[in-house]
Amino acid sequence: MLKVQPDIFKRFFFRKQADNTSDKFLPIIFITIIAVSTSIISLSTFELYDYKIRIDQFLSNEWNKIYDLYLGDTNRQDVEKYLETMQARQYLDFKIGFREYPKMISIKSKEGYIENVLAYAFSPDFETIITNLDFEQYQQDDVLFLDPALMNKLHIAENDLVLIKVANLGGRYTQALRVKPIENPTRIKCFFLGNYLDYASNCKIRFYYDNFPKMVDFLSQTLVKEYNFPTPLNFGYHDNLFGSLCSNTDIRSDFVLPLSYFKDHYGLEFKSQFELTFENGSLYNQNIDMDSALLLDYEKFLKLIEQKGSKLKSYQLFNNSPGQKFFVELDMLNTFNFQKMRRLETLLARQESIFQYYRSCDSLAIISINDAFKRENTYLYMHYSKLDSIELSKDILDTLNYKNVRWDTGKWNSIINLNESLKRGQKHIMVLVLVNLIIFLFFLSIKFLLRLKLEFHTIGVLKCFGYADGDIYKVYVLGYVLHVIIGLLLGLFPFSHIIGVMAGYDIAFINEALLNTILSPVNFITGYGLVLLLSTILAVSINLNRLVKRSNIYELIKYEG
Amino acid sequence: MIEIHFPLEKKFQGGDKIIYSADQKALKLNSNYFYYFQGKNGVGKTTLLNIISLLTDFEGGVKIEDNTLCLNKDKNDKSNHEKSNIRKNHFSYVFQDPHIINIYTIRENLKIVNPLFDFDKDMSLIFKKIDNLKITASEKLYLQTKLTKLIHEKNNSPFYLSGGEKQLLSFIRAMIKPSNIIFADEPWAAMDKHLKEFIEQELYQYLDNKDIFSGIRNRNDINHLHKKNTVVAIAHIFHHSTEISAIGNHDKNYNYKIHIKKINSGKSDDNSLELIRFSN
Repeated sequence: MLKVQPDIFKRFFFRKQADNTSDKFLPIIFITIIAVSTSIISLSTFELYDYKIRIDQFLSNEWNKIYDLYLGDTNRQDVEKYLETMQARQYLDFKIGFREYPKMISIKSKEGYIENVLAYAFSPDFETIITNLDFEQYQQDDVLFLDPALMNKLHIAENDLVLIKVANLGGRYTQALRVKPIENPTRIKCFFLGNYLDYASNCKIRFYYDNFPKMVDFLSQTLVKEYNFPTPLNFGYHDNLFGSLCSNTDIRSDFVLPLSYFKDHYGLEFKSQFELTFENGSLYNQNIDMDSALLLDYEKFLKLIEQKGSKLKSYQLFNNSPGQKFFVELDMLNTFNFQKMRRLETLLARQESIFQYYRSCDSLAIISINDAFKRENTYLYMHYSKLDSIELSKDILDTLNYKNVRWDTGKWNSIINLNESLKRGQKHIMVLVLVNLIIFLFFLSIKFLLRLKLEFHTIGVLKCFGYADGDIYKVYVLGYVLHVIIGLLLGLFPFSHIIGVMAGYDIAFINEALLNTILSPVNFITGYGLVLLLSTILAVSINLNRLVKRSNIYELIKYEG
Repeated sequence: MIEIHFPLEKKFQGGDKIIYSADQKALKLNSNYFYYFQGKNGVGKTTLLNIISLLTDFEGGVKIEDNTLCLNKDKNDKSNHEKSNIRKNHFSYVFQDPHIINIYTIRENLKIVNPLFDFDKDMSLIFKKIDNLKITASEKLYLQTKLTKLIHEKNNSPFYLSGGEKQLLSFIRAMIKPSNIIFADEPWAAMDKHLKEFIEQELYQYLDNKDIFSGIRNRNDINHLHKKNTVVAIAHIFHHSTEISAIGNHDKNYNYKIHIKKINSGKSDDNSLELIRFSN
């Protein structure tokens, strides 16, 4: 049915000229016009795709939908009432934040330090928003989530430990946390899942050693002798404390377990008497009460180790082989802050220096007590996910502004603008398609008027020698359709690429945008192509019908020359 | 066989028209004859030939073989497709002007009328057969020279061919096309003597399928009628009665007058033309 006479089809594209060359110029120009027109449409779709990616990226990250609302000088009841109304309509939901969060913190890693980072503390209320995190696990592990770029800057690897303090208050480090990267890029650079910096929170660091002498060595040589670490210095086995090195004035045995506990739980049997022999002498105790803790006299201990080379030589403390996992515990709130030390710089340097021993111990544990969550509702977090609704977003923006709520309106405005740009871009592209189409139709009509009249003679001769109208229609329709298809394909590659690169897009983006546009069910390029093809078929058929399908073949033949 | 049913009417733009009538209700152009429409310049010979060769619209009746083409409004008109089929299977044309398509090559101009035409092989065949024609040596040389040029320039545009070469090409095109009726509109009007002799002879031979193109034409075998029921219809002006006697077997019993009424800008003008017949 679609069979056409090959010579006639060939000459539709490449007319023989008087100088015996074939006219390639006309089809190339025609195809180029379609290709350029297609690439202009493509360029507009690149812009749309760029908006779309930015919006998708923004909306795919739930955290970008969290807005901090600061209710400073506002009628909080009024605001809450408004938010509750909006929440009831399922437009948004809001959470109450911790007092004084977000707050600026300073972070010290082994090789880096940053003075001010805005840190957020999220309670389990946020589990519905930050759905990709296991709140329970990360609270137990005491994790600080950091922006990967910031991690790089501070030379921090995943699971490294860092010291933290509240910035700008001249304070000491009060918290140590293990670092994890924030997986999704977000405007939030730093957060943790608990109130680690509250005055009631406390952190304890346990330096674990594989054997008892190593633990005593760290206790005596490093903490007592080198750093003059404040007492009490607690030590323990596995997960529990069994002893304390303390002066008579600060004996605190209330949190230390009786020695008999360790026999029951770990099979660790203490002798009824003990002896720690240093090179310089022995620390000897005649009687040990199994129902109380092992308390070492700090003054006696200090005398034994104060001379050079006074290391632990032997110990008689256990009836059986004690195994591993002895630790020394530093209490960040009570002892690690060296309260008697006046000079802050020296104090911080000492804290940092001691902390670095976590790398030479056999393992380390951080135990934070941060269950003293004080949540006061001066601070609200709004979770809003209807950002694609421009009107609603504008309405909320205006209302909260009117209610004098302070929040990140710039960010909110930018997503509204992005959505507006997307809609405006879609409208532009529709107009562009329409204008292109009209220009193309005019161009096609001019081409018909000029070329078809030139070809009246040819068509007349063909009809005269028995070619039916259908045969001629097939050649012309198929020929023009091929022109358009080739033009469209060239428009996609390389014209779109050239024009895209000229406009500043990279090739990978252009490929992605084109692929996405072509594969999506409703897209402007395919739509434009289809409309172009349809209009070509219509224009060719109508013009052929109007100009060629006349019964007076003799008139057509007379058009020669 | 062609049967012309009078009156025939051709309307032009602006209301002008031309009406053909005859004393007889119908005139038959029978098979194996050579027909001339003889009349003065501008009398309407070409228009009548265009009507019966289906190159223009008209009102009236023309019967081709077993197909009746009735174009009166109250009768059935043949569709364009059927008219194309008749032109395709039965008709061939030689015009006063060659009407060669300049945007095709010489080879393509021939190929489009007969897909089985093998340019190199068939043109060599024609070249050889010229030797057997009953024409003078100088006429043969003349023809073969022109043919050689066509063969040599087969892939070129015919744009720069001379008038004679174009006429020869146009004639070859008409003769190789599968057909059993040839319409020729003053084919010798712009032709030199050598070419006229050749064409005249070949058209006569066409009636018996003995022309040098018959093998190529009939290769298609579209209709067995091609080989038998052949007609040549020519619009031509004979300036002297001696010209008629020089053509050949003039059938003096077949001599009809066709009356022509031309209405041009409201003015009526009466004329006539003669239909004369020759046999081979």
